[in-house]
Amino acid sequence: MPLRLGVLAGIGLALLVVPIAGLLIRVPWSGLGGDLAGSGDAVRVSIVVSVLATTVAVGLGVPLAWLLARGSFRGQALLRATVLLPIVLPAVVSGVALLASLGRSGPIGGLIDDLFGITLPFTTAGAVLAASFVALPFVTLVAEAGFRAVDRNLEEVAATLGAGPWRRFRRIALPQAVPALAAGVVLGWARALGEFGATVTFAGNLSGRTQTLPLAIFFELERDPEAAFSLSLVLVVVSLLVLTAARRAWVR
Amino acid sequence: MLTCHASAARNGFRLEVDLEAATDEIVAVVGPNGAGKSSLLRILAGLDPVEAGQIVVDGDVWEDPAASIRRLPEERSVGYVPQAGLLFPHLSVRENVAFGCAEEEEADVWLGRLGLEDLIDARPSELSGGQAQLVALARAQVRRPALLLLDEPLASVDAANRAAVRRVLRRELHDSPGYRILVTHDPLEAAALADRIVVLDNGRVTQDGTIDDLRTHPRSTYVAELVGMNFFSGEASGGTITLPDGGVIVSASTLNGAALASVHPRAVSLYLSRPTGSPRNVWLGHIASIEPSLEQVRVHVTGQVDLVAEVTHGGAAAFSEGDDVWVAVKASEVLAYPR
Amino acid sequence: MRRLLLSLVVVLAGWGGEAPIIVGGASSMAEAADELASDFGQGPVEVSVAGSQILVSQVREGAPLDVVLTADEATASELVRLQVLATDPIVFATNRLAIAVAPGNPHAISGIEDLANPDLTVVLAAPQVPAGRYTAEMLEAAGVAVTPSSLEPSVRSVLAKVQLGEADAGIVYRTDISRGDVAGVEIPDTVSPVAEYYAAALATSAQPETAAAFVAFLTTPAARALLAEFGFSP
Repeated sequence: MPLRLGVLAGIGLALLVVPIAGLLIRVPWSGLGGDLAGSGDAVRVSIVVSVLATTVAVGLGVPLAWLLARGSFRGQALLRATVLLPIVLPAVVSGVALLASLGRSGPIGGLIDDLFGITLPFTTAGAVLAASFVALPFVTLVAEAGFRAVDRNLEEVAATLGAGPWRRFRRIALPQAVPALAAGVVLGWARALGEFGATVTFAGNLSGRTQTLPLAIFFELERDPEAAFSLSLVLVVVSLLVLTAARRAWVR
Repeated sequence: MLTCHASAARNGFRLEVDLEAATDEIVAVVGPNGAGKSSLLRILAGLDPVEAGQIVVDGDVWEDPAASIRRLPEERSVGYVPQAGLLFPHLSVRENVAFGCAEEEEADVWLGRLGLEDLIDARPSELSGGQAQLVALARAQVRRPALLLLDEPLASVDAANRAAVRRVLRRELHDSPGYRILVTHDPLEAAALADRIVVLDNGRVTQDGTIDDLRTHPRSTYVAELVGMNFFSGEASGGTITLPDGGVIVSASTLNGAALASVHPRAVSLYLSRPTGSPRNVWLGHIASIEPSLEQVRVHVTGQVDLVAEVTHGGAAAFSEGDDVWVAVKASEVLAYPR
Repeated sequence: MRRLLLSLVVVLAGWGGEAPIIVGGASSMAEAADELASDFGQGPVEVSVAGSQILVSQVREGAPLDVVLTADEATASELVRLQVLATDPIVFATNRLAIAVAPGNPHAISGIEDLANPDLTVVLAAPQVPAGRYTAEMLEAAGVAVTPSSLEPSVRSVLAKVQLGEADAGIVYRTDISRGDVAGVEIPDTVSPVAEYYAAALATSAQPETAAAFVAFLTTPAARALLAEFGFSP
């Protein structure tokens, strides 16, 4: 490797590693157990919300990815840009957008409230929605790349063997795209797990209902910074484990 | 009866094909690369649409744009064996073959019939080119298609296994009850597998006949080269054919007008001195090149008429490139036919 | 040429000499702090707004602040404990709590007792921020059990949730009512705790005189009048 590339790569790595190392230094190892025991609710909410949000994102993102990968229609580029928007939007903007549309006084949220008497803000469902909103683009983006890599000739052969569009998708395209889909699931899940801005804006903050780990960390930082460090450590470790395991799964 | 009158634009050129086939013959479509052979198969399979024309199989209209009829591939009774087989990589051999049929036992029957029973649980990545080709054939045959289409069935098979795979292929093609059309660029393969050969060049059918027709009456330089014949196109007058460059070649016929002629290279004799006897075509030529092959040596001679002579290795020892030689062809060896 | 250089030197010197002091202001008094800064008149002042607890963290981590204005006694005494102040903190303004409701008060809320109604969507400030702490104290002292739908990260987001119609009611500062598109329901002085705003100059200030002058300015009649305009009491 050329020396100058090595140096820059080293600096890049340092930029990523130093803050994490700083976190490790500040973690109050002796009080770790107590801090974590007190955050059981946040961990539970985080798991429930991130898993449900990933499910929603996969359920909707995979068909969307298929449409983008195989469709050929006017406005496709605009559609793709729209799908990817939440990736670049600040999370708080996502939260405001959700409030404006699906909030109690938003056009759709108001309709849902009138018809079913359900309001999304301040509920776990709202937190799931916020997390789904930010996770969906990641699932879609990666799944679309996966579908694009599928050999279309195989689907054509399947068609000559009597398979209709749904069977070709189910039996040929989907299995071929599994590695990409797995990557999309992991990225989407990680994004849902780390979601903060849209959640606090749209779903609010209530322990046991909408307070996820990132929210708990944010509020603990104001009350008890030590506990915030402990909780941050949990998120870092869990995320690192999952990313490593998933990487192994999809590289193989 | 299968009739295909199809016009379609594809990859910047136009396919304009009239093709008929019966169930008692195996048809090979041959032609140079880019002639539209694979496109023709894709059209028959329904993978690409026809812009104008009609595809009718046993009285069923499969495609007729004028009547807005277009059966999708999954609605046609076709068995399509693409180049290199294209097995589904994530499925086992048995799952591949069973893909198109309702019962897995059917798959086992066909795999057994093609001598592949040991590979039932193998993955496509573990197969040789020839094995993959046969599995792809079984996958198509298990549906007992009305129309079986094979695209370059031996191209991905290595030379060592080619004869064995060709034998199985030949038997399967023979035993299949429906229409059978295969595409190949190899005349030997076409001759070995098919009863009838359709020559496709630049999107059009240029010749259609048995391998014997093609060999004795080539209608294009491409076909002549394919079957290894000397080929001439000129104006005949009482059997004497004048070529565009002024050369003259005499046949035993009494043909008049636009004419084609073929001469087998083995009927061309070469002499170091002017031959005696009565050959009607004799001239002094010049050896442009000498190409040895396993059994014969092909000598390319320029002169009054350019042609290729096939001589034995022993006979060729007398010549070398650049020599002048006497060329003699009997008029009875010059096959002349109307253009 | 020489004149040009001279003027450049003057400009640079002036630039260096006229460095503003930086005032860290609690978020509940952001607008008032801006006005105070522009009326100060003894040098330029820049205001950096953050939650009181975050201001404390910033000071602890060495942020270059000259003056800190916090929104409760707890954060002020934390600064004292950190031994970073040049002088003891002084109270320069007070505030009280109020209930923010939609304009027209559609749920006819008349006092904090009404907030116990489980059919109402009530949001409060999280107890980690001063407004939330005052709210919790008040509700406990009054014996009113409110089930909040959310404990918001700041009193400003409580106000926003009411303003957007997502919450039926929220407890905010009195000074917040006039700013938002909301109606206010008074909480009697006997019920609402008094929120005290503390000011102190930091020992680490590079301009200790200006910093001290700004703290002193806060208790002048001019500053008092200005604070009153925003709804603060002395």
